[in-house]
Amino acid sequence: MKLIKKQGDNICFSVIVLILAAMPLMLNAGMLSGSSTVLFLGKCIAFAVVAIGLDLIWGYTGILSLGHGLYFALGGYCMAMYLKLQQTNGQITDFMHIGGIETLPLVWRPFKYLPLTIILIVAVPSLVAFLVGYFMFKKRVKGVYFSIISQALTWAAYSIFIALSPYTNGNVGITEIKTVFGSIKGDANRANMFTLFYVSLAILVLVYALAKFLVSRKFGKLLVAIRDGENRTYFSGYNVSSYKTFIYVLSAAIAGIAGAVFVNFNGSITPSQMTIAYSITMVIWVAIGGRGTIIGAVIGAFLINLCEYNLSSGSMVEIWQYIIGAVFCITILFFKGGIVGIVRDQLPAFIGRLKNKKAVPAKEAAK
Amino acid sequence: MIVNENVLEINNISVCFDGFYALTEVKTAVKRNTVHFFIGPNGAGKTTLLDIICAKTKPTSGTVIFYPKDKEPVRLTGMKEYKIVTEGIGRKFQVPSVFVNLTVAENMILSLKGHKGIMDSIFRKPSGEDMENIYATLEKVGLRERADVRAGSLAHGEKQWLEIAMQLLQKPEIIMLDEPAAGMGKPETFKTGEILKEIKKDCTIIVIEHDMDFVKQAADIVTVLHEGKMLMEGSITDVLADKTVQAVYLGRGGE
Repeated sequence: MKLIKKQGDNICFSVIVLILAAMPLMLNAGMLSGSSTVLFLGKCIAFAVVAIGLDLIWGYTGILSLGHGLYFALGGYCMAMYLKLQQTNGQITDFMHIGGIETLPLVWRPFKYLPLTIILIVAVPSLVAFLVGYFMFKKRVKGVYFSIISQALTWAAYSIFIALSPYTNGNVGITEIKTVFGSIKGDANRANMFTLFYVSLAILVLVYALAKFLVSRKFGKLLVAIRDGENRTYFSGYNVSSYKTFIYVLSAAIAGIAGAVFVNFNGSITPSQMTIAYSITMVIWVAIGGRGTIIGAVIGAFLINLCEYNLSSGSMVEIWQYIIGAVFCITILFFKGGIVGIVRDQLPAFIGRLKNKKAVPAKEAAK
Repeated sequence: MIVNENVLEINNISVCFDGFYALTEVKTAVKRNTVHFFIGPNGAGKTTLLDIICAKTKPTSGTVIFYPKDKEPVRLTGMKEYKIVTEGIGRKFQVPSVFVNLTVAENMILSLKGHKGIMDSIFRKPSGEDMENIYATLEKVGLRERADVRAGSLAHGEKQWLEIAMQLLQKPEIIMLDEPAAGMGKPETFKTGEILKEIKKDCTIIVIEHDMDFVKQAADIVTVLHEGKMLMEGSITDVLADKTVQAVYLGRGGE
């Protein structure tokens, strides 16, 4: 019992990973109808990774970023540019032709090489996040002001990506690409798909482990301290703004990695992954799963997307947005801890109250 | 070097806010390892005086000199706020501000001296010596058994003691407390007094307080302020016996 209490989140995560790892085997055994389920779960892995990053800055540090779609898309575009150049053998693409560009633009050139691309997937979102974070946190922009600015920046980036269509293919985005491990279409290429799936799963495990490590150290306690009493943390002699910049950059880098994973499964990237709506969806995953618990972000990302996948096809498609909105509101109003909060705090308190029915109702231990 | 008996000298401090004198020619000295109380009715200038010592407010005239144990004297007036903290003067504000979602021990770990950088907080664990120090300090304020409790679930008094303990970890020479017993019940107030008597062995304590029972219990020296001027200074018995003090302060509110 004590073990479950202490290691409950890690056990839960292990179960999720084991189930995911079994999926390709089930597909081989003919227990799944098609490879689309595996592809979808691959995308969910990417979402879980970005949710972990978002949880670090929102759940732990209390900075609500409504613009993480930007970092997700930046990582995604880096990956997609490499994959596109693989298709064209390093030559200029058709949309560049249409845009009147004769030779491969300078910004595209680094993406001819995989190692450089991998570095840039992390470096580009990090750099942008550093510039944004450094100045905002130094000027002590916080709370709702930070959220609004992060939203505005995402909107600006979205407009730029559409305006620069000779370089980015505008609204259409970068399409018709294969994965890092080659084509995953058809049964013949199933091995490629499995490699991709397991590599992505490994990335999720690594990111989870990194996040768990960070929050277990004094560093994690400081993040909570900054969330609960920023001024007090300054008085205790900590340089709060550099801590905030650090964690913001880290979570942007994680979002970039997630975006790169996503592109492989999705087969394309468009500016719609950069929109505010998309960024807010990410926030909803974390809120419903449970803020301030790494496992909550993972659960939220998987659960919401699984629901969406199963419900939004068919008759539910029109009301799905309303359902998710309502669930979000109820979570914020009544279950601040999300699903993890319910299981960890409210359920034990409820069971405790049932047990003590005859005695004086115990005060909510959860609070 | 001769260790000066006084740890703090306040020389003819005057503060003028737009023509209104909050403090006029206040001159006193705080002796090492004592509990020094500043009392007086509302608006007497007690909090302003603390603000001056920690450089939150600039005086119109006068100086405050700090005599650290093994170092040269330092003039506090004109120094930057954060520098005064590093010189060894801690201040606890009226409202308790502990980190509610961390445990008592974690709160203490964040208050340890040094190692405030990002890399240190990721890779460095507090040493055994640090932890011993933390538990010893918690013992002093009576929170040793509560070390693993969430600070948010502590009682009001316990939060105040935790904050005093967090100040003590910085090894200050002077701790300034602004109404530490405010909002506390009798037993808690008494315990706070006992804590002050215990920690004065390691540092000097300056307190602003209204509760006379608390002053009687813990004070070594009491300075009475009234309308920005010093009315008198002495032991608590002298102060209570003084006719003027009775007239301006003690007579009110049935204290």
